[in-house]
Amino acid sequence: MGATEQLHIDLRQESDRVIVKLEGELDMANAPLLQSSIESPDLSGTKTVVLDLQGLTFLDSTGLRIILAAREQCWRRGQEFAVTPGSQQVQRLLSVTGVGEHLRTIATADEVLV
Amino acid sequence: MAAGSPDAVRPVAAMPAVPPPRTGGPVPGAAPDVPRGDLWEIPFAAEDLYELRRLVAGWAARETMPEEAADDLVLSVHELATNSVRHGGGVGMLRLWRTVEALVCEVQDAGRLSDPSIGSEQPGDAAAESRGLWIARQLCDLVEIGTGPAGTLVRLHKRFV
Repeated sequence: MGATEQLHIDLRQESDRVIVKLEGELDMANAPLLQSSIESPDLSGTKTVVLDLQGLTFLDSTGLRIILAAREQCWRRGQEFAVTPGSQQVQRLLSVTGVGEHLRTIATADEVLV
Repeated sequence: MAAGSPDAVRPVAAMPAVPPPRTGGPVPGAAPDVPRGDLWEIPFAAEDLYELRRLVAGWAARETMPEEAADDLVLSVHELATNSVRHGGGVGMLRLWRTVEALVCEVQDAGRLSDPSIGSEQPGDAAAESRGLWIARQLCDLVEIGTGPAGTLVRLHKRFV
């Protein structure tokens, strides 16, 4: 099974935000796919970037690193950055690494940020 | 959590290449590819990480490890294998066996750790942090690390209860 079949990335723009929806498994093998999506010019013009993790069933430390790099990039551009909760495994990783408490988490991708 | 089980750091030479002999043979009716009580060796490279996760998950399920504990073990093994691919020469060897109370997974590669206590302190939330060994130390009951000129060997123990 190729790396691209394990992870689907869907970008869609909605009012004030770009929603990057991840489905499948994000690991070292396919983290570059997310990296290049994050660098897409489509992401730079909105107020907010939301990484929708609801369909993400596996996340490793390399994937987490890309997510945090995306957040840092959004902050540098003056954008808000938020994620939605992922699967139990994803939440477990965010919890044991302590990163979860530093990530702005919203219930759904279209939730209004205040 | 690793609480109560101090991480052991020993030279590779002091660690047996195979687990100690155990009593009892293969269980009748057990899956032929995973003989209970035997050592299972799986060489891996970068393109195998996905399959490696499936394999460890399937093995843990057949050994009736509870799902949440199995998820922890799968992620821990994956993190070690990723380290081998990235820092340990690109390839590694995974060994699996079970004891009465735990599943044991060992990852060996040709790399050398500059600091065997790596991953003992919680990383921050900067992207550049390394988290693999921290994750394994949190999710497994015991993590043994041996490193030297001959390479690095990390052994994870995940108890059934």
